[in-house]
Amino acid sequence: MGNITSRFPNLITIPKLLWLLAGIVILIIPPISTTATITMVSRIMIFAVYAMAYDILRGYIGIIHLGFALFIGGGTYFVAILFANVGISIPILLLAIVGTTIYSIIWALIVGKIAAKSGLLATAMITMAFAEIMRNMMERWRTVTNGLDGLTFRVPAPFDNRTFMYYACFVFLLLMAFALYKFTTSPTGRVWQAVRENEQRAVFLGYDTNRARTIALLVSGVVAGLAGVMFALLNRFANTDVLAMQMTYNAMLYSLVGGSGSLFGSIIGSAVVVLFQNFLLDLRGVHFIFERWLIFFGSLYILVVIFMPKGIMGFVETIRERWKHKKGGKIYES
Amino acid sequence: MSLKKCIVLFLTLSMFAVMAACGESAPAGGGSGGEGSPLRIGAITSLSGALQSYGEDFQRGFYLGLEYMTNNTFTVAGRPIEIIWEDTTNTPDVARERTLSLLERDRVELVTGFASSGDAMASLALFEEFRTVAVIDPAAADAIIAAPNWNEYIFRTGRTSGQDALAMVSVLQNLHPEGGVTVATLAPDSTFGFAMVDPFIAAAEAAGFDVLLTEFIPPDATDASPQLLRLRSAAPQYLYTIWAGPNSPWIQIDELDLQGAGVTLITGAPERDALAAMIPLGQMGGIGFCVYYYTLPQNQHLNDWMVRRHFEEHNMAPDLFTSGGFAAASAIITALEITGGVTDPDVLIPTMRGMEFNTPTGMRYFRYEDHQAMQDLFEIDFTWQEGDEYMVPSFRRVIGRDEIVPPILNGR
Amino acid sequence: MLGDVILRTENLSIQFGALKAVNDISISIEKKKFTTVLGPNGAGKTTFFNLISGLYKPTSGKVYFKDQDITAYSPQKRIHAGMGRSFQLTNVFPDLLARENVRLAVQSAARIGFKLFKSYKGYNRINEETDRLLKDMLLEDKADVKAGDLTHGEQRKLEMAMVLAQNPEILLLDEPTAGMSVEEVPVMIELLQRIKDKGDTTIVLIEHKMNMVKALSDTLIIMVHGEFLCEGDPESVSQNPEVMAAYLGGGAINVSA
Repeated sequence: MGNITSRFPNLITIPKLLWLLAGIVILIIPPISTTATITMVSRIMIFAVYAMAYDILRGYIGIIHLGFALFIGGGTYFVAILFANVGISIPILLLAIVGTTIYSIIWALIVGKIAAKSGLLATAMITMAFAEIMRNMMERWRTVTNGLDGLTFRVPAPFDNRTFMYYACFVFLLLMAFALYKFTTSPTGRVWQAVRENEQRAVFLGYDTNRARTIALLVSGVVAGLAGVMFALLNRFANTDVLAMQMTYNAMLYSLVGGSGSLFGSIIGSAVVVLFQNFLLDLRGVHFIFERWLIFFGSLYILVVIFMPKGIMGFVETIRERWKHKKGGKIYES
Repeated sequence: MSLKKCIVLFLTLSMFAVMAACGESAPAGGGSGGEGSPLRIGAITSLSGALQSYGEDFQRGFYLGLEYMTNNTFTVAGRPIEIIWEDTTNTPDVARERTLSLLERDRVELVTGFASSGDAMASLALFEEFRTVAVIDPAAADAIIAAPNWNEYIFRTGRTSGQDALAMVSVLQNLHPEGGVTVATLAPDSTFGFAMVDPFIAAAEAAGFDVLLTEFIPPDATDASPQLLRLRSAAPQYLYTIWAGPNSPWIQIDELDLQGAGVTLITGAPERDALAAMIPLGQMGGIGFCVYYYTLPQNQHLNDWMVRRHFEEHNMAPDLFTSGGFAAASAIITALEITGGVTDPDVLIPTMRGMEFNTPTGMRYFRYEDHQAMQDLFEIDFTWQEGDEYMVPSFRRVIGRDEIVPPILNGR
Repeated sequence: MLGDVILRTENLSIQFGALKAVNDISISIEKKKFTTVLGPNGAGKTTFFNLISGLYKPTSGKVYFKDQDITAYSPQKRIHAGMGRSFQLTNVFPDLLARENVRLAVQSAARIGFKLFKSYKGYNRINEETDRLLKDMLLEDKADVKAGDLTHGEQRKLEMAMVLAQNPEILLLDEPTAGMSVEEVPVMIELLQRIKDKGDTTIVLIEHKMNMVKALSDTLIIMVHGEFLCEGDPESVSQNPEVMAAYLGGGAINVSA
């Protein structure tokens, strides 16, 4: 072992070992856990993708999209409506995916046009209205969607196997994280950050900032829509809650708790929030004080806002900076 | 990959490890219903969020129901009862996961609850998958007993929206046995509104009534004058107004003097918080139906007991969803006494099908085809007197359960 | 007018409500010359720059750049046509590293388009050019500091580096030494002199520091109340009585001293 590490110092490093460990843990969860846990972790992974997509807008290009639920909601409803009314099969799933992608592209282009003409706040309010329009439409179209009561449906094999679904979510997370990582470290991703920092300067460096914005919206919207497809496959249920403000708040919460401007932060944020909620709900049985779990939940956010305004990743970054300055020690390269 | 990410990764992994470990510590013993072994019931409802008060009412009623039905022993057929409560947080995907947890980790033999129809709908398939009977109260969506959502493990003690609609029609038919009635509806533009209006229109038309107008108001609108003015000029004999939540239209109806145009208001009386908003209705007067108000049940021993005990325990009168919780408990205990504590669905389902059980509003029974409880509702006057904190429903007559048989929607 | 004209305005005006911030200005800027625009505060100098660089649309008039009518061009198009613009209030990307600020400028000039898949670190030419510019501006040891954490003078230098990254044919510099400390100003002057000496860039400057204006300018343009007052070499302009009246109510501008 000693020979290998001295010859190939970059091959076996602590960070890489930890990644490997994380991967192993995630891979072995299904055989050793209850279905509820498997479902919960699947949900975390889907929400992680949703939060990353949201953060492309908020953390990278700097758009506040208060109607972001309309993307994940669109994906969920395409699957739900097709499965409940047309049929349950893989080809129909593919049709839903195509439909979701087109739907997301259309909405991304619309918001892109509006954001080019209007300021940050106006765009935020208008996007909120858009989500509400979609939600209202799905409520009115009750013969097909059942509104708030919702639609149940079966899912095609092999997605009806929860373990398969879990691994599918894992692969989905890896693919989307990889794609978004590529995008955010690409030249375009750097332009996104420039637009967020100082759009006027970016314009006067010669960048077509409207185009950069539209590309961000397209990427973000399509990814969130796909997360919606996975969400429907997991829950086998869809109701208008998926287009409601709460669903947009979820994206904001997960990305802010984890740390905006960092893809990894969105993943961590989703995990922390969902696990914490679950943890509190589990504790109900232990002591009646936990019946008011929302109080603890709310306290978490107050603590995060006060002590970790830049989210968990930001907090860790701050600690690392201080540690670096104190010790002047070695820093692991990213 | 930076050190910061390593630290965070470590923390997350530890959390995962804890969760996985906790997930496996299922309580020992119990499960298949042997003589004397604890009977684990999973009770899951909205204990936080918008419907929190419904869930808490259900909780109180459920306990009182168990107390009464087991003679305060909390055992049935020699098996001590253990209840595990879960909070759906009024979110369907969380509801589903918590139900899953009850079924798989806690291995409950029965499930009861669900205040929100969305929560219930998201969980229905699990009962078939885990072969566990569920007794639903008060989630009222017709969709729950409709194809393709329903399965034979689902029983509902609570009423369905279809019964509400038929009750309203029954009230009118009773007033006008000769027919020739004109009606209109006013409801929020939401799933709740549609769920009440659609079956009412169907039932009203089937009864030969003339439906003049159906008006909808956006739920957050503060001004309903366009709708009310149209209704005023259409001047139906009866206006069925449905509302829940803030911005209720009662005051505006009074201001625009629909009654002066000959319109009589009819509606269903809901739980106490909503009755508080209906004081103008009590002042104007009107007629309607009520699912439960604690003074309405006549000569119902269970209700007298529940009211008395509820005042003792909680210093207030029981409400609509309290009665529902009591009814769920009653159905469960009644069934288990018959089966001798056996919860195996092959035994329990045939037992519960068609079974009669006693509740604060009278005897109910589960319909064979869809396991929906057939139950009496009440015809009421809207009254209000100086000093009343809310509109008080006043008894007129019992709307018999055979008058309000909703359509069978699950294809049987 | 001797020499080629690189930038020309024709009856350029912009009106904000009742205020004519720039009124009917027709001037020509000679190629490769150093022109300074002078005028009291509120004279409309920055507004004039905004019109030339495309931040504002004129209510009437035209702008010509290299004999082409660019009045309808977007700011980005003008930048890519060869204009460079620095701002009166420092205009950098505060939360990004100094190096990244410059790199973004170089990336734009490289016109690689909206690539999504290659890592931004992989563009060697861009990286090398970034290092060169940072070195030129004596900012190499501050390269890994966030732009917002730099001193005011360093931020100004950073902005200059970003503007120069575009290799512009004409530089529009709006008070580049504003807010700089006494030690930092000569560095900026020296830089401008270097660019001037190289002889391939046209420079248009807005400034108030007279010693700097005197040392560098080939031509002065005076603006008052949004209007063109006069133009000429520093000597003759400083003798112009109208100029004296406008500036100091009678006193001479101390340009020749």
